[in-house]
Amino acid sequence: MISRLINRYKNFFSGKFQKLNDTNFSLKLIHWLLPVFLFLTATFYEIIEHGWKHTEPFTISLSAEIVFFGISGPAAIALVIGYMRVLVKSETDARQKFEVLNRKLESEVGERTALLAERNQQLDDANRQLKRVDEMKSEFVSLVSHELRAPLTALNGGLEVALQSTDTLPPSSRRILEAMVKESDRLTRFVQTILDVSRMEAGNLTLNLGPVAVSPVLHRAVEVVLGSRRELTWNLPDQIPPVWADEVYFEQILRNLLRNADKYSPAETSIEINIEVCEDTVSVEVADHGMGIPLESQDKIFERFHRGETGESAPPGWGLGLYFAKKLTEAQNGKLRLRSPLTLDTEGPGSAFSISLPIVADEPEEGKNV
Amino acid sequence: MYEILMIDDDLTLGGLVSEFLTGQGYTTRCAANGHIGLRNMFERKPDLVVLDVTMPQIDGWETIKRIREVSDIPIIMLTARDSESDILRGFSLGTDDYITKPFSFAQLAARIKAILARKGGSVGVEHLIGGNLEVDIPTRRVIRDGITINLTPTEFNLLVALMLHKDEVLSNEDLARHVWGTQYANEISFVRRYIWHLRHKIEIDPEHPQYIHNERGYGYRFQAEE
Repeated sequence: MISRLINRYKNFFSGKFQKLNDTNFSLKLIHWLLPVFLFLTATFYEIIEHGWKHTEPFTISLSAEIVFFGISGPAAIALVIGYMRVLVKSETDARQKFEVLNRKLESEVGERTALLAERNQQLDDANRQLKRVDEMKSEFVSLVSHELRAPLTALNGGLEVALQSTDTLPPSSRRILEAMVKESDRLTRFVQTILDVSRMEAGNLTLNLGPVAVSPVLHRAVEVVLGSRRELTWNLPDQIPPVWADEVYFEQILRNLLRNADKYSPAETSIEINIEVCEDTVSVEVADHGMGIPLESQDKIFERFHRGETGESAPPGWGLGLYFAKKLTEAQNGKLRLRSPLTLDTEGPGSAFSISLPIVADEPEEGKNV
Repeated sequence: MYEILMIDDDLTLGGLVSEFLTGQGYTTRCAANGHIGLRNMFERKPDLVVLDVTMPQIDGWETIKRIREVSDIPIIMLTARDSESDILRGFSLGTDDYITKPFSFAQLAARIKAILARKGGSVGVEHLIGGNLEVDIPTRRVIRDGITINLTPTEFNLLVALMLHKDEVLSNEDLARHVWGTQYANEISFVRRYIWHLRHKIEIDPEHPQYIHNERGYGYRFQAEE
């Protein structure tokens, strides 16, 4: 019962006093109550003073003092508080306006965020679709390449069988067979590159990394691609430390660079092979004296299906070699760079591709029993 | 004369392989699918089977399973699938070799010859064994305790050079000559690095090697310790 009474009073007073938290209401209260209180206090005091003492005449001086102390003072205070109220009101109005603007802004931000989320969702959907299309393309390419492998085996094998008895063939047939072998090899390489690229893009290319001797691999690649057809300028240091790479793919990249240098430079010019040993990398550069690669094409040269030259007179190619070479080099923590022209003359000829790979770390000193 | 059974639905390829192998002195027979192939195998009892993987009705995987239930005849699988998982699947099912298309007929003939030589007991230098380590030169496979170890071509050649001269000490010069040829004398100074990495792939504890031992001042020796 007592606690119910306490609660009732608590609610009553909290309702009344809650308004006092409002600055405007408090100022309004003070604006009127304080002057009235001062007026009443002063008037009451003067009346008491003049009526009680009898020393002060209860006439004009009482009226003057009441006017002076009871009216002027409280009026001045009322004016000051009034001015303060105006200031507070303008501040309150400004704050309210600010709050309205803030709410508007918040709602706009909310709308924009929702719109952005919607756009993001659309972008995600589009990305997923693109990825799916890309996967389908890779699957298709892979399927077609697989399907091409069986007839290629028969084609290559058939040529191999036919070439076993070239002695009995007329020279023209032999030449035709040799040309077919060459083209069939090219087609086989193409199919293999497409398969490698699609496997790499799908993240299924496995590298077999280990220490690789640069010089033997480079000489083997030169022997296979160029034989003794081209003049070569070698610039090799005495000691070349082994690099950390996949031997098969490293040789494939070198063959690709050599094949390009051979294709894109006149047969009478030499191909330069430079090896530079830096602090922690070995760089193999293949430079040719062909027409070079214009500056505007240089950043596109490593893109998929980009061809240095197009048109009927362009050398055969598919624009996959350098793209694959760069991706493969990067997968081995290496770098594939282009420098063209070879001289300081910006219009000069020649281009050089260099592959840099990390040097194999020196092994720790072997123990007694090792 | 060895008889070879070719099971492949690609009759053109089968015919060409047959013709090539006949030219190499083998008797050949072609089967267009797994059923005919299995029947031919039981009737003719060939010396080796060349088996394609992708075929209608029963494919190469199923065919090899059925062959292995009753026979340990040498089998070479041919396929356009060259992923590592497919190759491992082939070996786990019991194939002796695995060739991916496109392949050269000469390479196929060399592998057939190696497998038949092994089967005939003339293991020669094509299959090397040292303790629990086995090296098959034609297929370039290295197996330790039944697990295949991936070596780079250089590491493989180094290991073969050491195993071919088991218990002999080979100097760095000898190893460089075996692996890269006489003209690459400059590689001698780096042989130690190759051996160090090779040990990390084939030894169980490279700090206490069981296979490749260092003879200080001389070179390296292959000796399998039990």
